[in-house]
Amino acid sequence: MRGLTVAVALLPALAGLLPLATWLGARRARRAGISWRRNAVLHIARRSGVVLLDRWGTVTTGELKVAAVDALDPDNERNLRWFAGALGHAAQDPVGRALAQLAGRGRLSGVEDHGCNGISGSVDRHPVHLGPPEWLGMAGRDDLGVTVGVKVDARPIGYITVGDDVRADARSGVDRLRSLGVETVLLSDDTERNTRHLADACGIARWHAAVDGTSLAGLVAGYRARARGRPVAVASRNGASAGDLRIDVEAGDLRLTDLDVNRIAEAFAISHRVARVRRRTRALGLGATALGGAVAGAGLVGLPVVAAGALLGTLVVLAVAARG
Amino acid sequence: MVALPSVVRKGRAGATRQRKRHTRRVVEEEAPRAEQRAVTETHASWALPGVARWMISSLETQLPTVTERIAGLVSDGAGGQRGRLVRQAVQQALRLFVDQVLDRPTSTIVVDDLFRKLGYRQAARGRDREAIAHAMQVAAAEISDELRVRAAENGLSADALNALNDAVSSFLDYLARQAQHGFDAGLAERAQDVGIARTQLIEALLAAVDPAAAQGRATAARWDIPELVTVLAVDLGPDDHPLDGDDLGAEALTGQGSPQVVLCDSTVANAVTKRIRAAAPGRRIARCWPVVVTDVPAAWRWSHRALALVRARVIPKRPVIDCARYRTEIWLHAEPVMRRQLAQDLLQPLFAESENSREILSETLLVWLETRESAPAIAARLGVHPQTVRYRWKRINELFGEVLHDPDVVTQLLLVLKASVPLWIAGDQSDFERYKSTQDP
Repeated sequence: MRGLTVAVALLPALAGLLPLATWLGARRARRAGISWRRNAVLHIARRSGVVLLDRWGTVTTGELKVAAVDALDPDNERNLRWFAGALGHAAQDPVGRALAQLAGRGRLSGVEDHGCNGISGSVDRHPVHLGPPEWLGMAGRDDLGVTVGVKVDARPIGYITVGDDVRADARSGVDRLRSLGVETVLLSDDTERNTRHLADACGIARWHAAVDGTSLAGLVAGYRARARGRPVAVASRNGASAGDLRIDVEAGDLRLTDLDVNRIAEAFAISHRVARVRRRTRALGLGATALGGAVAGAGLVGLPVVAAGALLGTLVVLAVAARG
Repeated sequence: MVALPSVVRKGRAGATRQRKRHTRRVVEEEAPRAEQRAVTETHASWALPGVARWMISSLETQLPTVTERIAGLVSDGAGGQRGRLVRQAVQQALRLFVDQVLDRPTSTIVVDDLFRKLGYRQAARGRDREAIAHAMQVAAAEISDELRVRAAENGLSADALNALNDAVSSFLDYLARQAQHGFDAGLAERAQDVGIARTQLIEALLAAVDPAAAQGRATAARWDIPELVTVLAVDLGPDDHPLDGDDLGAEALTGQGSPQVVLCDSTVANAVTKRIRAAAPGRRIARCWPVVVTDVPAAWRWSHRALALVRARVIPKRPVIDCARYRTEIWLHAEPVMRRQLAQDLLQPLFAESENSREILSETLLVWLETRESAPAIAARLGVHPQTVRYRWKRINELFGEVLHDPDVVTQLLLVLKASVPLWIAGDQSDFERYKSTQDP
C-alpha cells in the first residue's frame, strides 16, 4: 500500500521531466514560420550572444526601391520613368527590379547586359541606356543609394536613385534581440556610406560594409573568438554555412520562412522561453513529488489524499508548461 | 500634253516603211514569176488549127465593140476610175489574147498589172473575193457567145471551136490568177492599214486631240470610242516582246513601248486584263479607273506613275495595280521635284536627326497630322506605349517649334510627309544625302 502511495506521488516529477515545453515551443514556432530539426538548436540559440544580419532580407525587404527620380528637364520626368522602367524589366539585378517598378512592360529589342556598367536596349525603337552616370558620360552624383544615369536616343534625360527598402519594423526587431541579450551586427555588400545609413535607420550600432562571400567566414571567426565560447548566429541567404547557428530560409539550423529580423527575434525569444519553462516545470514537478513522497512516507495522510495531491501537482506542471 | 512614247512614233513610221517594202517586194517577186507563167501557161500550150487563127484575125476589127460590151457587163455600168480601169483591162486582155493566138511578139506585163490592180482595189475596198470569179465567168460567157456566133458565120468546125474555147478558158484562168494575186496584196495592205489606223488612234487619244478628229481615226481603226475608257499600263521588261493586239481582241487598242499602253472600253476591262495576264504572264499591270476619252492622257500618266511607285516600293507589289486604291499616292507623287524641294525646306529639323530617330519621329508626326488623336490612340496605331508617343511629341515640338501652329505649314508638312515617309521607309535616302551635301563645307 505504501509503495503504491509513493508511486502515485511520483506523477508530478514525471510530468516535469517530459519535454512538454519543447513540444509546445515547436508548435508555437511553426505558427510563426520557424522550424528546426534538432531540439539542440534551441539550446544553441539561447546561448548565442551575437547575430550577424545580412543586409538582404533581414532589416530590408531584400529588394531595392526607387528613392529619387531626377529629370534634367522637369518635363521629362514621366519619360524618364517610362523608358528606365520599361528597360528595367529586362534586368535581373535588384537595381533593375527596382526600376521596373516605375513602368509597365514595353516593346523591347536589342537588350544588352553590360555587367557592372549597366544595360542597354531599345524601348519602342528608342535606344535607351541605364548605368553609372560616368559610364554614360554624364556628370557624377553623390546621392545615398545607387544612382543610375538614363539616356534616351543618345541624349541624357536624368538620374534615378535606388536604395534599400528598409522594413518598417526593423528597428523593433533589433530592439527585441537586444532585450534578449543578443547583439546585432549588420553585414552589407554596399558602400560604407550606404551601410552606415542603413544601420542608423535600424538602430544597429555595429556594421561591416563591402562584405562578400569570402570575407564573411573571416568575420564570423573573429566574432566567435571574441564571444568566448558562446555561439555566433548568422542570418544570411548567401553565407549560412559560416556561422555556429545558421539561420536561413531553407538550409539553416533554424529555418525561417524569411529572414525578417522580427522573425529572427521571435526565434530567439522562443528558445529563451522554452529553456525557462523547462526549468520551471522540472522544479515544480520535482518539488510536488518530494512533498507528496515525504507526507506519504511519514504516513500523515492516506492514499486518497496523496493521489489527489499528486494529480493537482501534475496539473500545475502541465499548466505552467502550457502557459510558458 | 503627254509626250507620246517614242516607240509609238517609231511604230507608225515603221509601219509605213514596212508597207512600202511589202508593196515593192510583191512587185519584185511576183512580176517575174507571172511573166514566166504567161509563157508556160497561156499560148505556149495552145494548139489551134489554122482556121481558128484566121477567124480570130478577122475579128480583130471588132475588138472595141466586144471590149465595150464585156466591160459594161463586168463593171455593171460603173463609171469613174473603176470603170476606166475595167475597160482598159478588158481591152488590153483581148488585145493580148489575139496577139498570142496570132503568134505575135507579146508581153504580159501590162495585162498582169491591170488585173492585179483590179484585184487589189477589190480587196482594199473590203469587197468579196468571189466578185472576181463572177466577173471572169461573165467575161467567159460573153466571149464564148461571140465565138459561137462567129464560128457559125464562118463555118468553123466543132473541133476548132472547142480548141478556141479551151484557149479562151486557159487565158481567163491566167487573168483570174493575176487578179487573185492583186486581191491578196490588197488584203495584206488593208490589214496593215487598220493596224496603222489603230496606232494613230491611240497616239491621238494619248495626245488629247480633238474628239471629232479622234472619232474619224476611230472609224478608220474600226474601234468604237466608248463612253468610258480604261487605260492600262503593262510593265514590260527589257527582254519582253510587246503585247500583240491580236492577243487582246479587237476591243483593245494596243500601243508600243514600255510600259505598253492598252486602251479598252471600261465594260470589258476585266476581260482585257485577263487576256493581258495570259499573254504576258508575270508582267505587272497598272489599271486606271474609267475615264472619259478626253481624260485618257491623264489616265495614262497616272497608271504609268503607279508602276513607277511600285518600283519605288511606295505602292505594294501586286500583279494588277488598281490605281483607284492608290489615288493619294499617285497624286502626292505627281510633282517629284516640288516634293523634294518642300522636303528640303520643311523637314530640315528631321534631317539633322539620326536615321532611326528621323524615321520614328516622322512616322509619329505624320500620324498625328492625319488623325489629330490623343496619345493613346496614336500609340495604338503605331503599336507603342502612350508615353512613348508623348516623348516623341515633345521631341517634335522641340525640333519644329512654333511652325506647328501655322495651318499652312501644317498642311504642307502633312503632304510632304505623306509623300516622303513611304519613300524613306522604302530605302530612298536621296533627301538626306541632298541635305548633307548642303551642310558639308
